Amino acid sequence: MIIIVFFIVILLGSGMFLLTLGKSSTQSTQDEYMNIYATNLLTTLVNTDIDEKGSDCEKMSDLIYNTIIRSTCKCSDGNSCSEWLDKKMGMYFSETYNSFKKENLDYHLEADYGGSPLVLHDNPAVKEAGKKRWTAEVNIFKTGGMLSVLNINLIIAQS
Amino acid sequence: MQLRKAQASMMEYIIMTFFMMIIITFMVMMFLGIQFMNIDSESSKQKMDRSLALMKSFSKTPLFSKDSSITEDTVIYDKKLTAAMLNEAETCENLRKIFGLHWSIEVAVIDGETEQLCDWTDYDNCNKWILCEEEITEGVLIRDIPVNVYRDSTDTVEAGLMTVKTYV
Repeated sequence: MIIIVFFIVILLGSGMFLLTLGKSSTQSTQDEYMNIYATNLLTTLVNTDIDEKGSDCEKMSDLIYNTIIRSTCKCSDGNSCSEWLDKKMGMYFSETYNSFKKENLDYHLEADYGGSPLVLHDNPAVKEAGKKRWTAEVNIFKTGGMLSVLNINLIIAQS
Repeated sequence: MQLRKAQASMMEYIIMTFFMMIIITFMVMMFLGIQFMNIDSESSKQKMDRSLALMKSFSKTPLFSKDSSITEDTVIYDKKLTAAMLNEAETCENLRKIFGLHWSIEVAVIDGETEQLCDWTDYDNCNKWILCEEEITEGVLIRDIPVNVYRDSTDTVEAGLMTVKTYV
């Protein structure tokens, strides 16, 4: 009788193991996709042209950088960079990102320049414990007299 | 008396064998079920892996990107997409020799305008390209990633979405 019970336990154990193995391999592919998605979402955002050529706000990365380092910065229409940044971020996270956004995910975007972080799109829900998260990071190098590095981070979490 | 004992022992043996057979049959069926589930899961993993590989390849390949070399950033050149659609059947046949069979890609510029399909007669006032589409509706895995699209007519880099469909 003991042998039968032992036999059943071993079979059930190996069955469970096989099931877990199948599930975890699919999960890793899904994670890889989410990492590519997060990285591409961030690089697409920072590389997109939003103003005239040669302007302080030519690309989104220029706008973020100039808003942080130069309070006097202005875009081609004469509005301040910080106003533009608010407007563009609002637009990106409401209109444009609707095409990019996936259901049941929260997005949080922040920039860091020399240790002073600037929250570009705030969603504290992404930092809640126990949530599955994917992050992407880009470093933008600027050479205006001295080399500066602007670090931009995107955090995506399950809602 | 001994005969009855032997009969009882025999009965016990038969019942035990019967139950063992039921347990073994159940276990075999369970294992087969798990194996089928794993085959199914492996097949969907293969499809997802292929979709990921195609996505990476299409977004980085110099065949579509603005730069002639492979770079980290994904900037698709709109003229290359339009050129690929010029003789789509031949282009797709050649692309399938490189990337394999049964896939299609869509690239759409997210500019807030109504979607307008590009072809070789209209390549400036449009914002969407579809390449190598197949008429299969079942078992299609659809995955999308954000990409940048370089618009030659305006000399700007715009935000776009690349959708890869894997049919098998």
